Amino acid sequence: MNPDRLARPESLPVGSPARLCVLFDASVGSLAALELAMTHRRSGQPLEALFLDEPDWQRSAAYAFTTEVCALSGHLRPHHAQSARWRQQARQARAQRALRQRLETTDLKICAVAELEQRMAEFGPEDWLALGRVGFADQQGRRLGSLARQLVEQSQASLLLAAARPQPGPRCLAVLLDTPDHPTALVQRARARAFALGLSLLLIGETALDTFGSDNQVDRVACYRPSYPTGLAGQTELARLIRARRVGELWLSRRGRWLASPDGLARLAALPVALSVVA
Amino acid sequence: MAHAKPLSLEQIYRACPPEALAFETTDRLSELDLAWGHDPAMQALSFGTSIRNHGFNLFVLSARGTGAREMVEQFLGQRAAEAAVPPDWVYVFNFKAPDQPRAISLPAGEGHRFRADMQMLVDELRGSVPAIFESEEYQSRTQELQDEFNRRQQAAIESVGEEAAAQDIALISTPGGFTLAPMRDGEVMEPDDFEQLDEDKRQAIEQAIAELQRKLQQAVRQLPRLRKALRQKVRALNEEMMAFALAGPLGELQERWAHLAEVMDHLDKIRQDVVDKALAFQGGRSGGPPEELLERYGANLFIDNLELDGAPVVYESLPNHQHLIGRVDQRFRDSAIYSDFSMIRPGALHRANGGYLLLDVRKVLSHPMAWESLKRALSAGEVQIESLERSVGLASTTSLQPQSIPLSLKVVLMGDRFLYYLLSQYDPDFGELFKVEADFDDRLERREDDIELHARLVASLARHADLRPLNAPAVARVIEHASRLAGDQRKITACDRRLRDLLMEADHWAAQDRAEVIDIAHVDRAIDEARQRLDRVRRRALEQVERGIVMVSTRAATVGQVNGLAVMRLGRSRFGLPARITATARPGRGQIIDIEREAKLGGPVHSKAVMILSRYLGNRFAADSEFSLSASLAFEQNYGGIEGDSASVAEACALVSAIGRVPISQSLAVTGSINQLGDVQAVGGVNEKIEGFFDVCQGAGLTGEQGVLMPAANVEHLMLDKRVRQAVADGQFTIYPIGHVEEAIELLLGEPLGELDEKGHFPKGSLGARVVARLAEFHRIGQPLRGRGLPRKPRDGGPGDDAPANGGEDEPGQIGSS
Repeated sequence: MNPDRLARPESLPVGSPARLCVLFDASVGSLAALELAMTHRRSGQPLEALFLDEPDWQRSAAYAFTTEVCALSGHLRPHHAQSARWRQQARQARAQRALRQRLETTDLKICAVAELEQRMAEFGPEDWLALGRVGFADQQGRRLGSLARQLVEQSQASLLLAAARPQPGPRCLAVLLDTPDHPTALVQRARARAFALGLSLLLIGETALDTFGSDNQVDRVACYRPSYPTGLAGQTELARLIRARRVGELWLSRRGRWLASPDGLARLAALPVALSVVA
Repeated sequence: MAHAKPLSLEQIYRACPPEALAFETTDRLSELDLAWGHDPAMQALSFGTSIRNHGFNLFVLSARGTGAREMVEQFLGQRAAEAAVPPDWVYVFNFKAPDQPRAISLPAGEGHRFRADMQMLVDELRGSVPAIFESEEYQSRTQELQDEFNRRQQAAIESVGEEAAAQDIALISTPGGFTLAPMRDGEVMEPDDFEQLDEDKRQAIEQAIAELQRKLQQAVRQLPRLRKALRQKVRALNEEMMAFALAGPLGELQERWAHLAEVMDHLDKIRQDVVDKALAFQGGRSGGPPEELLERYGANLFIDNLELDGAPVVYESLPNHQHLIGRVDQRFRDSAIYSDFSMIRPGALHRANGGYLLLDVRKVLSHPMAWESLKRALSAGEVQIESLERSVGLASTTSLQPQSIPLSLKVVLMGDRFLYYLLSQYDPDFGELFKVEADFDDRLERREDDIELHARLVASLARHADLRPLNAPAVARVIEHASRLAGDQRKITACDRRLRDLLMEADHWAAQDRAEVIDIAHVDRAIDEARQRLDRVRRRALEQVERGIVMVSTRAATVGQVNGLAVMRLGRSRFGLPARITATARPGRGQIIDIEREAKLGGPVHSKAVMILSRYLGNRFAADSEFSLSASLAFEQNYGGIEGDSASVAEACALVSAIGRVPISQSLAVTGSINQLGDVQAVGGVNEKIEGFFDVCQGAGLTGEQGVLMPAANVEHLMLDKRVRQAVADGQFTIYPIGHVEEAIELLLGEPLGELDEKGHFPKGSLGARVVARLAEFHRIGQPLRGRGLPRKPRDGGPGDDAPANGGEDEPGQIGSS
């Protein structure tokens, strides 16, 4: 039990996840997203799992002259439809096994990436989408995949962006206060989440002490006043803070200045914490 | 032959007159150096501790209780105080060979500072290194490097992707890598649609894909180089940060220890190791550097001479292998046995390095391999710490092998003479390593001029034991008793322990009397009570004599029977008793049978003595004729064994009595050894022997005619008990010194042997003539037996007889040396 565990809030904030959906491609990141989603799930709440199908990959395998360039060595190997299909099936099977290990039933729906935009439009601000920060694009050195970026920019739902290698043994949940107003709802939701996980709550940002220091429902709070610019300096400072305080999750608002800055999301994606982008 | 004159009182006891002591009590006397009287030994110590050549270690020969150890320690302490303090030693981690910790010598007293400095360095590293790696500068710079790598990695792939897109070719990420395929409207073209294109178009697309694939391969293959470059840059950054972290604390240490090249070298190695291990410094459990890493930079203060004022003097009371040469401790860590340089422990050789090591040789020899280990260290001039199991080849597991430390010390072995001679005889290394003998005599000279010194010696012993002072008569008595303990009027015992025990017991009796001073009565009581505590066996032996169970006569005269004297030793008890010796004589071939030897109860020295006396008799009474005698000698009622030659005078007298059929006075007892010429030689235990016979005579009733014959050469050894002295003074007991066996014969048989004339004949009717005549009769009786051809083999090595064997009398067992 975390010694800094928060007192039970007087009332749980409205807006507990109505729908919870995990986007799967059997990458390491997507498996971490499944684990993260399980911690958000209420008892008995259904968990939707969408397996992302990449038809372009299947189609490319149908050509006789296409080959696969191995990401590590540059070696060329055959790229056949049959082997591609087999590998695709193997990925699905892995995904189903992962679900079955965590849920009583497996309900893995296949969804082509092209259809994803339509499906995502069904999710609202009270719903959560969980996915890995980067799929197979990490081979290109990316910290943030195109799908994650797209959903941050376009989706209405709140997002859980799982880190492939999160911080071990977290002790607190942090909220980044980088909006002009006071994101009370954000803080309340984060507080409820911290309480559920048995973590303390850390508020990061200029307004933290002024706004929430006297809040009776926000106790055992450590507030930091320094300004957190976006960019490398801010990323460095956040990374140091996350390590020092053993932050397990970092919550932030979609309207904040970090996500508004050009490389803010990519820099946040480089941090070893799960990101919760709240609508 | 001159008649032996009885000894006077002054001759049988050398008194110490209290009037000669010019003090009332010993608290007025100044201290006397305990080494007084041991000049030769002290000179040897002085020489042995001065000479610096290899192998001149010392062996102190002394009997137990002489106080030699205290004297040696005192001497060494004085010598060590004038010597320089030896250097400190530390063990540190050896970066080149981690299983061979490095030994560094430091000026005396600086080991503490070095250890503290190293600990401070460790603390600095523990605190400052995490701060360095947590700093904004380090985080930013590593992030920059990572971002740069990511950019270049992405750019390499993206450039191919952009080029592909420009040609309507899609670059697709797959689980294992990348692939390229024709594209239309942002999606990969269906193969069927591709087939609908004309031949030229299809070929162009295939060629383009092949070319892009080649570029993609190139891009992927340069990634490892990029990663390596990134690692090198991160490493360089880490080294730069570590160097910065070290600069302050290490710079201070380098300034402070600049005068010691070895320390500077070690600090330099620390610096290099910290820089090399920069990455590992980030990996501790608590977020800081791992403790296993930090421990390498500490120091084990192995020998600390901060408190010394001179050279060390070390006495090791348990000189086993480990205690001598040191050990490496072990402990459990992570379920495995573990040790490092901080667990090396010094042995006595290390602690005494630069000074003196005092050892009891008996204890060293009684511990397995301790002696060998000691010799090895002294021979090599260095100490190599190795476990006992390893040194005898029982263990072959990897273990620490600390760098050896050069030795410069003197080892002083202490032991009794028996061990010294054994080692000298049988250990070839001993003579190479212990060339100086300091032989502490167990007796000191007792000179009249030294009486004041003797008194100061007694005073010093009493003072050291924190006892009451003694008055002059008590001191005089102690000096006399010291002569008795030495068994010599001209000596006193050097056994401090025995004198100290006597003084402590006298002090006890003084305390019982509530006296403030120990006087002569307390000393006498201490002596008497100590004797009584050990007197049970003597009393039982006397009782057996008094009751006639053991037959000893103290009156009248008997042919062929004489009172010999023997000393019994049981533990600390030592007393004398008479022993009846009997002799028989009959015709024979010159054999004198030692019944003790025949029964295997006689030792070789006793057998030799019997042979000597037989040659004396033969030479004296049958110099020009055959010695036709078959005689036998026996110690009656002896069942425990006889050794020594101190009864040969008595045996010779008994034989003469048996041959001449002249009775021997039973009022007298005799002790002494003779040579082939009849001269009486000194023997041991004369005091105990005389007192033993006196006790028997006193028990049976003194007649005034009893006494003891003893070698004249032993007169100066007499320090007889006061009851014997009183009897001598009263004329009830007499002690005769004899220089020749014929003096004993005259006293015991009551008549002289007679002087030989110019023809070599004894005077007619003299005892000698009667003995000669009896021997001639034996010869005549024995002739018919020889005529029957019995072989006459020479028994004593003389010329043999030519007559053939005749199957005559039995051949008794040959008397020969064992």
